[in-house]
Amino acid sequence: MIAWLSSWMPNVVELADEFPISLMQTLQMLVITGVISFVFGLLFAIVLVVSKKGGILENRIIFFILDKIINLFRSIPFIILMALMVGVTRMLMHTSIGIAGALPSLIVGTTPFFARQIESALAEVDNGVIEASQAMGLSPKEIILHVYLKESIPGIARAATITLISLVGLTAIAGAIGAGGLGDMAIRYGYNRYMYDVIYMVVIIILLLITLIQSIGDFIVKRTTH
Amino acid sequence: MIELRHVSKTFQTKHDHVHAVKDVSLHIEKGEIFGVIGYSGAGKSTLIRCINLLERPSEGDILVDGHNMLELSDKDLRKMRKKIGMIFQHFNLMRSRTVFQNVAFPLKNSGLTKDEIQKKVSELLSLVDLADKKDAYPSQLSGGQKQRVAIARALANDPSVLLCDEATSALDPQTTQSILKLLKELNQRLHITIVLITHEMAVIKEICDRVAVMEHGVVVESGSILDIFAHPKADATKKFIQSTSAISKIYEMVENNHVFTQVSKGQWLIHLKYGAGNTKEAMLSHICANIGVEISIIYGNVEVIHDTPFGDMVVILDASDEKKQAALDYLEKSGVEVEVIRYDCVVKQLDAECR
Ligand SMILES: Nc1ncnc2c1ncn2[C@@H]1O[C@H](COP(=O)(O)OP(=O)(O)OP(=O)(O)O)[C@@H](O)[C@H]1O
Ligand SMILES: [Mg+2]
Repeated sequence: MIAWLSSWMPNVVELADEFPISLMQTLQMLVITGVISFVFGLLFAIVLVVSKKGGILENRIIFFILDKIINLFRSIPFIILMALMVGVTRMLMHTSIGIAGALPSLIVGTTPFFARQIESALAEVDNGVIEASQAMGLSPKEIILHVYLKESIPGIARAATITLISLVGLTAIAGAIGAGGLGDMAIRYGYNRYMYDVIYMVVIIILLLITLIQSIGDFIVKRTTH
Repeated sequence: MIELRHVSKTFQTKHDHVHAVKDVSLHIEKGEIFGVIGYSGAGKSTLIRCINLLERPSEGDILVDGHNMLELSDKDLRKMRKKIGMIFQHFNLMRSRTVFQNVAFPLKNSGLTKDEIQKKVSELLSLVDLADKKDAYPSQLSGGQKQRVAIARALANDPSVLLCDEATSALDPQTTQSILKLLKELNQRLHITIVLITHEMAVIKEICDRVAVMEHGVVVESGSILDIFAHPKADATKKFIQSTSAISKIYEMVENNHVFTQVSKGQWLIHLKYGAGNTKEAMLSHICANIGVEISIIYGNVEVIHDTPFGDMVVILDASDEKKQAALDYLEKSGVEVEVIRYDCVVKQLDAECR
């Protein structure tokens, strides 16, 4: 088996120890960024939905400002965002390389996307249901917690799946400028040193990772849709 | 119970103002079923939504149970809303919750214990005849069942008022009947005041005590069902009433001299209008048996509204003139309005032509 592998993927076998490390780095970036940008994305999405025209706490100014900020950050390509954020990253993390150096950009790059995804999930809650809740005498806080969030759990799970999958892509880009992880491996060995088998292996691992995320997402959606 | 004083609502749209409700004043009594009827866009929904302030009126006052709704703080308004149940055309149930959870939902923070909530919800579900569906999700229910869940939910906090915005408009006629019957029962058993809006006169006729007719944001006429049906004044009202009866078709047939409406010598074609007064006896059989007039019925649509027969009947009387006249006198004395459409071969309006 080993012999067979080393004839087909000699570099992969040689670098076998590095794969788990890189995978862990990628997972670290995924989880930390995922959790933080989920929290902020959810918060922004809620603010957008309740403050928009006809929302339960309509507020044109807050909606306008948040809406524009999110659009602004969504329109910056990630690789440029990372360059743009170098100063801020150094200030916050005291480094601009490694996982710590990548996190601020990853979070800033992912949160607006997450916010938009969750916003559209929340917007899918039938207006009539919100109205019925108001007619029942629920407070805005109760409506947000027990109606908006509860009713859109499947939509939010779907949003999280899509966002995490696109975040895998971002971690690979971040890897390319020194954040470590699977992307970093593919570039360092595969691209710079022509070790194509390393690239293939990275692709296979990422494919498995994405399949896993998608399956978990689908499972949650299925379990929570009635 | 509910008083609307000079309520107006104007919507600001990009290009102009929409005067959805214009200077409406209504007084809805405790325990009655009050209907609001009007065509689409008449402002019915806007008006009913003003009662629990889902829509804030631009002008006017709204009093529910003596409280001026517009002067309540947000917190008091929410407390007040718990005492005003509301149901909707599209049910508006939460998809993520079971029937039980939907009905229990308004009881959050009500101070009831888990067991008390369990008991309350079970009672409500038996009240709407859905005890066996308590663990189903709304997507597994029919429209009529969904509306029953919505009714149970609306009743959770023992409201004194139930607002119904086109509650039966998405349902088939049979289901509509069963929901209306349920509302009537609730009204009688719980003494809950019901405000119901609809565009179907049949719904009004079925359960309402009083009705207001709306057109272009204005209440053009209001009164008890019997008054409105017997003596409609506004054109809109007449149109709605006509929509529940085919009597205008008969008049068309008379004008076209349709064979059904032709009478031979000694016969009168008459139109009996029930509803004005006390018409409880079996009058036609009395005329037949005691006065000796032969009757053939051309058209009949008489139903019972509030224990009073109401509607139209078109019949041909055949007997001597004296007997026919006696029959007419008897009918009028019994409170039926009578109009002779044709006598002998003469149509009243078309006298000249026939001679
Ligand atoms: N939020 C709103 N903004 C602007 N115009 C509105 C709004 N809500 C209602 N209107 C307008 O007010 C008028 C009355 O609407 P309303 O919904 O009260 O009518 P309705 O009698 O309930 O009609 P339907 O039988 O179709 O439900 C309509 O012309 C409608 O376009
Ligand atoms: Mg309406």
